[in-house]
Amino acid sequence: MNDDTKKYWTDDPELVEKYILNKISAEEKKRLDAEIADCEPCKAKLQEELEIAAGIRHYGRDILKARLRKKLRRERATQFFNYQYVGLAAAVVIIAIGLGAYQIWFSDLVAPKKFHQQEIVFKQSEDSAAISSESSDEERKSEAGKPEDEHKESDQRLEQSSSQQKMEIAEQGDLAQSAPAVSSVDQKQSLSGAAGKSDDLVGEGSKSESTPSAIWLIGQIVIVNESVQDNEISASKIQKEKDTKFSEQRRPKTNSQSLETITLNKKVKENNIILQQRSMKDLPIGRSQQRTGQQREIETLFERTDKGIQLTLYDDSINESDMKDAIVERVSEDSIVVSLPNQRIAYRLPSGWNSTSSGRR
Amino acid sequence: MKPPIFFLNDDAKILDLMKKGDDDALVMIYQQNRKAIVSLVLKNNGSNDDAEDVIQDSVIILWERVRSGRFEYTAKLSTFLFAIAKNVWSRKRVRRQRETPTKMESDFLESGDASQLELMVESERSQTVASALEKLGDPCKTLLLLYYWEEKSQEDIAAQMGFANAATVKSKKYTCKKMLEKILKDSGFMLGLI
Repeated sequence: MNDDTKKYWTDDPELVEKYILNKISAEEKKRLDAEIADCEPCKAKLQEELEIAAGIRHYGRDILKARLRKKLRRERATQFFNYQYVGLAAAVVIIAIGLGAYQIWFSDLVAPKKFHQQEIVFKQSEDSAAISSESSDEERKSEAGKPEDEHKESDQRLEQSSSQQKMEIAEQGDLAQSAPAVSSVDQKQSLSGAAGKSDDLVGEGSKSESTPSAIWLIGQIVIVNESVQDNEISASKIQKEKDTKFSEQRRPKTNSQSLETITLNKKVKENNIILQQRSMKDLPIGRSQQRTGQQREIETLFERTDKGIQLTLYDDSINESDMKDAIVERVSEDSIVVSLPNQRIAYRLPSGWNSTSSGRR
Repeated sequence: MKPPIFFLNDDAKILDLMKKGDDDALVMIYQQNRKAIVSLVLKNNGSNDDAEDVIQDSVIILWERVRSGRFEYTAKLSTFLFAIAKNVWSRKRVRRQRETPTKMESDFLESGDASQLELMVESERSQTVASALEKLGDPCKTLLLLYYWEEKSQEDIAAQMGFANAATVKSKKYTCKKMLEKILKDSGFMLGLI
């Protein structure tokens, strides 16, 4: 039955389409396959129809697959951005918490740093150089032989020059706002919460890192008429230094206990503290102008000398016997207290000065 | 083809979207089943790229079934899709081993219940025909797609494409097919050459 006149089902387009689209039953398909088993043109025709249908279907799938891929890319991009936003928000929250914690926990530590970051441009006149510890010692020695009047003049000149020192303090940070300038000399630097106040910086050098060789501090009288506890500090040796010639020449005669220099031997090296007292009249003009008149404050000059740190208390109420019984205590890293028989004077030391240890006369 | 009440969650939603022709359904079912199908392919010597192809092909086959009305809801969509993926991956592996899968031989029918057409769709020759279809342009392209891919009836095509009736669609379809054959012949492609 292989002649050309024989009709095959592949001549029926509708049946062919049903066959290729699999819209016939399995039995029907088996029968149709058997019918064209020996008809090669029928198989070729069926193959042709199948290829066209398959191509069309392939094209349809390609279009749909492209749409799916596009959608998936968009979906992933959206998810990625969502994750990014979440990550960004989390980072902002963490940074905010970190900054908050930093402010809370480390603000106290930052404050002194800012203080020391002050850039002090200190222009010192030639005369004022005498205020530095090194030069003051030498000057005292050289002046020792001078007549009394000359020394008086020298003292006055010294005081004036110290008050006339031109200080330019370029302050950074909060301090610039909290300490408005009174005059070129009267740049006040307040140590908040301190028992004593650090006042005018007097010293050499113009770099922020260097510690001045002398500093004015205002001692706060914290306790009056309190007995001093002897067991707080043991002083091994107290050397009293009476430079009578010098004191007689430098001090006015009206002030009998004006220069009582007491050297305290300390446990720690470089801790000699020389306590001396001078009259309020000897207070430099610049300092006396700053005085608020409070009874509980004592103007004190801290100086570094070759012998140690010299504290000069400008107060008329302290007598010679008080000075002899004075005890210097280091109560914390940056605080010292000078205990006199009838009062205690506290100082808060700035950085560079807090190596002062305790000692006893 | 209504899904049972206990499947009225994502499956019902996906099927509804597919019937409407909304391809958001493709993304939904892709994302729901990707993990399982990728795992299947990787466990059977496939790569990540193979897995990606398999899941995309499977999702599209499901789409075709639903769109052509040949889908019967007898199991969850994930189960059905997994079965399709298994067949697709199996055929891909066979095709890799044999470079001429277009021959109408009995071994075609060994791959599950896949029809001959299904097997030929993935061949290189069908890709050539698809390229010719691209050149054909509309409305022939759409008409042939609706008939051979989406398996719409001539009445439905007439309604969708604005033809007068099914007879017009039949006539138009014949013309379009002849045009496609001509494009293929002009490009040197021999139809039915096996």
